[in-house]
Amino acid sequence: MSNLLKEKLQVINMGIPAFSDALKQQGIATTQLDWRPPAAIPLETREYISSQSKTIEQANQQAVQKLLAATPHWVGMGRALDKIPGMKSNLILHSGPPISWQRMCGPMQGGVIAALIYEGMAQTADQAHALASSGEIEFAPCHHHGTVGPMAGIVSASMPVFVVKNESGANCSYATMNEGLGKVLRYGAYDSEVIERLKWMERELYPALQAAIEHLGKIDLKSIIAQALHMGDEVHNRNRAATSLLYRHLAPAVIESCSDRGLAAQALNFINGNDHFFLNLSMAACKASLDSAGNTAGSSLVTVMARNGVEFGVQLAGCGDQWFVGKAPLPDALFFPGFSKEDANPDIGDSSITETCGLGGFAIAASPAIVQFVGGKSRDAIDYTLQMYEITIAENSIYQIPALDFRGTPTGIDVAKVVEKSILPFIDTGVAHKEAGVGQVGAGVLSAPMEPFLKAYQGLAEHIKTE
Amino acid sequence: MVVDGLVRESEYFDSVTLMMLARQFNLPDKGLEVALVMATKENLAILERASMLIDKFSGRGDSDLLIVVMGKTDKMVATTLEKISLALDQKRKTSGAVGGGLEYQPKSLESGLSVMPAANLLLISVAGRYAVMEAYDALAHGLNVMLFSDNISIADEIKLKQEAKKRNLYLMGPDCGTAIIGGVPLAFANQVSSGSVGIVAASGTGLQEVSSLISNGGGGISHAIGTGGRDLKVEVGGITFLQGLQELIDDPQTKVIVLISKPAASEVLAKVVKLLEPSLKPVVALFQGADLNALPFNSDGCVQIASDLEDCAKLALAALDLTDGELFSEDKFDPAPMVEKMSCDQKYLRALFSGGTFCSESQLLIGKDLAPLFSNTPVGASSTISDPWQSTQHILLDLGDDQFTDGRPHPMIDFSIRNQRIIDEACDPQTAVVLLDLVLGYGANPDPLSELLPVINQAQQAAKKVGSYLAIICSVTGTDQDPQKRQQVVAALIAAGVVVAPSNARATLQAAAIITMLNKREGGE
Repeated sequence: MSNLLKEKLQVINMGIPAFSDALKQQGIATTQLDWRPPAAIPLETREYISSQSKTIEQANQQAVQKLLAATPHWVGMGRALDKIPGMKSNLILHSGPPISWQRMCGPMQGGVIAALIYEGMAQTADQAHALASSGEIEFAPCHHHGTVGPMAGIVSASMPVFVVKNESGANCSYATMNEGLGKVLRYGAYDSEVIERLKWMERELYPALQAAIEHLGKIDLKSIIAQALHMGDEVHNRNRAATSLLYRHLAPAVIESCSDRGLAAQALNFINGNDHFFLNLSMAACKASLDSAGNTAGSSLVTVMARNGVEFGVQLAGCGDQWFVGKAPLPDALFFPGFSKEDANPDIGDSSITETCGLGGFAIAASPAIVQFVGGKSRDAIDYTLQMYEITIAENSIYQIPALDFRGTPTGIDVAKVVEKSILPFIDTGVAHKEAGVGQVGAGVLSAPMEPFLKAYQGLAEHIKTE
Repeated sequence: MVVDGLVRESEYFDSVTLMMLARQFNLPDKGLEVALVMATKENLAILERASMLIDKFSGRGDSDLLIVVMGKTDKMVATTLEKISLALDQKRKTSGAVGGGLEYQPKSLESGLSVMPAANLLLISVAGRYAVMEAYDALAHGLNVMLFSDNISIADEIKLKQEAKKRNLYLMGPDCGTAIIGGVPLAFANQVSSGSVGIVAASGTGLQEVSSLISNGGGGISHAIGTGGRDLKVEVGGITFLQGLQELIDDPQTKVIVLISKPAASEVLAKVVKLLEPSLKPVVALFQGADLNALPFNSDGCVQIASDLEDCAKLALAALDLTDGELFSEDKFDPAPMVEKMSCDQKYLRALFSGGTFCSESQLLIGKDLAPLFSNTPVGASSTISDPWQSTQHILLDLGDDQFTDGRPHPMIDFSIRNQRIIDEACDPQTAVVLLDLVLGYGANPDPLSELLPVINQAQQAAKKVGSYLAIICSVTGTDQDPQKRQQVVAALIAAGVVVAPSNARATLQAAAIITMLNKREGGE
């Protein structure tokens, strides 16, 4: 027989709040749920997924253990053509899921134009435009090549890239160096100022950093991220602490390995002047960690969330390289003076790899400095992070949030939880102008759209059925 | 007419909250109509019928909240939309979700359990189509379930109850409005005294009436287990009913057992009889509408069969030797002074119930004597009313039935439909008696007097205008410990000229006594 009548009543109330108010008045332990209906999934799919829950659970544990065990290190640098697997001189990588030149949004086309001019394949924007639409240039997502790029995410053959190695899984990831804020390629700007900066980075910054990292051997990125979370970063929209920590590693090494004092000073000043310098390393660290969890049959763990400015794409550990896409939403942002939502491009960039790894918006409770993006109260930031625990599989063993008594960050998004609980991943983001060449117009937050997760949920069911 | 609306994506509120909010902004007199609904297929269809489905609602789904306002001017519509948005923001804040500055509210059972790992009951009142999955989940986590939600198929009910039984858990419901566990009232229930009467009931309102009457009569309740209205059907086989009964038989605190049900399948009754055989505890059973001679209980056994809810409470009190309460004193109601004041046109009873069980009980009590009698939920000798919005002859209406609640909260919470109907009946010169029920307790309207008293006054004036004297009789279900305090409510109603009866059965018989006397007067003239 049930023990209900013999035990002390402890009630969870799902629905009408007045019922829990009445119980609380009587001194009965009661938890009110802020329940919401699940996303619109066919009942048979949900029943199938729940019938497979043991298999999925096992696969998820396997996948998330790899994710938690990942130890990303910055180990070297090189030219994209030499380092990125499958890179070709006529290949341009972009952020998000696959997209043709014709369908690309303004800022991504702008980034492509910048890259073609930078590579010397075109002299003017018009020439670049003609070349891009000629069919001679191939386009592919960064994610198809172990690479991640913020915003437009453009990577071309001669760009220098960081090499980040997950030493526990022996897989590598790649990312370009961050150019700073303002008019920059990743936001689709392509005027001479942009190209000159990129050239300087290739000519002077790259050799200085390459020498420094060779001198050091490697830098433990996981350790920097863990410390930065204790110092107010969530390593997506705020990288000030992580950049500072990186700088402490780099400065002596640059001085020791660079014979030209002027060059060393310029390189260090560039990093010092760019609070987001660490972002691309944070992204590469997340990518290397998540890739180690990829290709786990039956797992509903999300390994990629990425946007190309038109579509929002998701990949699952249990669905190989298959993309599940939906329309990219417009971010809810704080705009720079003179700009408004009218100017904003739909969400763009691979930087949501940080959220996929349990950082960024998922760790916003660690970053009180940027709570103005979420309503201005640190309580709001905490609530957003708490909400993300509802859709994740594990709590990180290394990355912690001081404001939550050093609870591990919510790590490993479970697509089944997203869909069944109707709780969407929460993402920090920068906002690009919708037209090519203008650049960044704001920063803010948004919830991922439901559509790609719904498709991924159904895709997972099909994968399990055929396996 | 101007129609405009807003979509709040991925935002959910339960339908009661939304309907109460919509009601707050509805101003039908000023031509302003407001709807706040989740974008389910059903709700979209409702909006379409009301010409309130606008273009921006296309493609919206179950988890999107729609706000739509229809009014005379653009400005009126725009300001109302703005006010509603603000009110919704406020609700979010006070409900402790994001921005609330209060404790984080878990969004799912899974995280609710991480906050309260020793939880032993999940109370579900979300829409039926979601409730089934959530109930399974709760059972799988070892939780008992009280399923307040309705619109759940009998096939799902059977599966859920079998699953619960397998796990030694309770599945109370679906459509289970009331339960009292260890003296704690759940959902729509009254604050009754703790005591030694255990109840198993397939009727929520019936359970409220009997438990309140027992408490008011000096007794108390150990546990009251609600089973949902279909549990005793042959398909379900009384799974929850039998579980509850067995447990009350074994429960040392329970000295008297009360069973409340609609007519039960004979196979199920046979199981009930078998369970009761070895028990020595006195049992009082009400099988509303059943053929008493066909019930398989011996008159010499320990089972006493009650004729109505009041009788049920009386027999239980008698078994505890508590026979000096109000129920045991003679009914001193005298219809004559009222009948004298009535016009010769006044003939009919108009009963407007918020409790479905009361509507059936009254029909069964007086159906034969007052025939022909019409109802939207006919039982016994009654016939189906042709137009439930139009009264002719003797009418007994269940205003909690779907045709009246479409898009509105239950009439125990939202009095608006019944209030209007009371006025309509008062304006009909043929109306002699308006019979009402008033259910107090948790979940019910927290301030019934502020809404009911003005309407009663208006009805009396309206009757006067058409040359009538209107008798208003009302039963009040509840206790003095309820948030509304029964004694205060009763005193105020009496002061307003209402005849207040301790039970629905008695109120019904008093109403019938007036009609009978009116009939005699007619016959005598």
